[in-house]
Amino acid sequence: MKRGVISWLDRTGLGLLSPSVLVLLAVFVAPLLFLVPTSLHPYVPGEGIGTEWTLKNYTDILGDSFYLRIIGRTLALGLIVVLATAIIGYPLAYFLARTRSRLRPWLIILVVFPLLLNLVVRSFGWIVLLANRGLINDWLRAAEIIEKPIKLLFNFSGLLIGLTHIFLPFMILVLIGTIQNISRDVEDAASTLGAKRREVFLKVTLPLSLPGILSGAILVFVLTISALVTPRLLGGPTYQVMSTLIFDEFLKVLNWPRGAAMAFILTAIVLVLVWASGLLARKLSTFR
Amino acid sequence: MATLDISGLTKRFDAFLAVDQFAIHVEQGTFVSLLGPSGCGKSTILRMIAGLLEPDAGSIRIGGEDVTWQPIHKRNIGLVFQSYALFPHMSVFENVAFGLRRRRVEEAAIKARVGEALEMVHLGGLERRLPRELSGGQQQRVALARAIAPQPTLLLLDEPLSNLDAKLRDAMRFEVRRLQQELGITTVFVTHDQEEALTMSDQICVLSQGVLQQLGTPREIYDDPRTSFVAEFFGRSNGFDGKVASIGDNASVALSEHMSLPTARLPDGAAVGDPVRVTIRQESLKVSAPGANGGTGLRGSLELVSFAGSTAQFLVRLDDGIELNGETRIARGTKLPPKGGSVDVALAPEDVIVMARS
Repeated sequence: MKRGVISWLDRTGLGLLSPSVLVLLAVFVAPLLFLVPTSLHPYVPGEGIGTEWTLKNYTDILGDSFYLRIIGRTLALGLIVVLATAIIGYPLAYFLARTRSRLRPWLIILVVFPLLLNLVVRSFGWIVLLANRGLINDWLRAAEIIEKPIKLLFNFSGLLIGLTHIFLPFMILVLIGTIQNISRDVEDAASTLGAKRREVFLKVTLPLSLPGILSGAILVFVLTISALVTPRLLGGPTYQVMSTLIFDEFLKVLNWPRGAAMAFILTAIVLVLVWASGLLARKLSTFR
Repeated sequence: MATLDISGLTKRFDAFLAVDQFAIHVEQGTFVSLLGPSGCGKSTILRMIAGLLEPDAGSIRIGGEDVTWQPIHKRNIGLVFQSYALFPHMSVFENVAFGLRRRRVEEAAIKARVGEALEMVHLGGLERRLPRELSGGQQQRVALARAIAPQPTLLLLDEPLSNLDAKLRDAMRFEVRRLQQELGITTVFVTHDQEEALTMSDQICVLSQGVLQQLGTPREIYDDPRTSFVAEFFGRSNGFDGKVASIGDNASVALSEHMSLPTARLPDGAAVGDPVRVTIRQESLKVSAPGANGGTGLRGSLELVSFAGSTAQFLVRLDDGIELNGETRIARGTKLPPKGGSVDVALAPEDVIVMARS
């Protein structure tokens, strides 16, 4: 029996996965499962977590327009950050993947460099730039383009700008890998067959980059909707997204059951989206 | 269908001169090979004809029209890449239809012409397959069909056979040639394989270090090389540095102090004592038992004999120490001369190829 299991692990190669699977089970899946019962108990103010079983935490959240608005805002933020990083990142990644410059390694380090800086520092940098009396508003007023400062901080645009900046390197790194794998000959073949530059891009380069765009998008989306530090700093105490709300429920309100329920709702949404994009990817790769 | 005229074509990569003042005139419907070792500039020339590279100087005319500065997509050429470069995300049909769609051909006509092109390369029925579902040879055929479907004026082939295994390569060689003649399309073929160039081409253009060495029919190039590079590039040969020993009717070249060989032709204006490069093809050496023919009076001993199927290869050490490699066809059951025995070596004066050496 035991030998059977071992040889099965050997044959399928699943044995190689076991260290990472064990770590994930211990530090990720197990704590998550502990939270499942928590999310199904009521919270009694002043006492703590009750003992009876209920779905109230879930129904409260999904039936409350305040929470639904924040869920919607979080998903919209994720989508728009994905779009922004893809649109800004693609040309850059294309250049970095194709350039023959000797500076290329340094340029790639430049892309990665912001990741080496502490997240708090980077987010504070944006506060300095975006505040009402910050650099951008001061310049715009000095140039007499605007009269009153534009509100860029503690709202959607602040989060959008900050998160786009912070997650751009992830998108670029994923895209560089994909674009590098597209053979130059294939693009050249398209132009010898009479395709203009725009057509080469739209008919060949872009479709062949789609798998990379998709995996970059999933990565950035998941990072964005689960980001905590940047939304907290750039959104302030009042402009909430799902992650800051969950954080507050757990550590400020101490309403663990509701926090857990919110966490599971967010997880479920992410799983559905990742599953759907997996389907999409399979469809794209067998496109005829 | 068109002529191709190239003049003064030059391309530099930083300090490296890749192509130097290359010129050629190709008649309509001609199959011309650019032949040379890697780095000789043949692919660079092809890419400039295609428009994938801009020349530093010179001009390219297709059918009399100057295309030197025309963008690639307007040139109406078909290019087959060494890597095939098929579109991996498109079916065979869409790959072949790509050029037609760019030319805004009607859907019904596209269907007919893609079918026709695929029939020509014997791939009818595989329209819906993806490139990755095809074998290397099939992918090669799709690449060919894709290049010819839009009816280009010029077909460019960049080492299209070098990724195929030997048997398939031989078969494709004739198929490409047959296709080219059926279509009557002017074709430029880049290769480093002399056999491919010899068997497929109307004209061969031998290149070395970016410079045109010789242009001619396969026969002319092989039988009458004009530079020592061309002489030694084809077949297996022995090369020696020597000096002109005598001129006139009894022209000969000295390979060492004691030994000279009669030759049929010396370089123009050669004088006694001029340094020359002497090339002797392996197949032009004939060995026989001592005394059998009094021919050139070369005498030596067989150092090595090896059986290589339809031929035997041997190494003769002449009496004054010069070693010559030879190759001779053998019939079934022919006895090979014993190793170490002494032999007579016959060498016709026409087979002693002499080039000026600077």
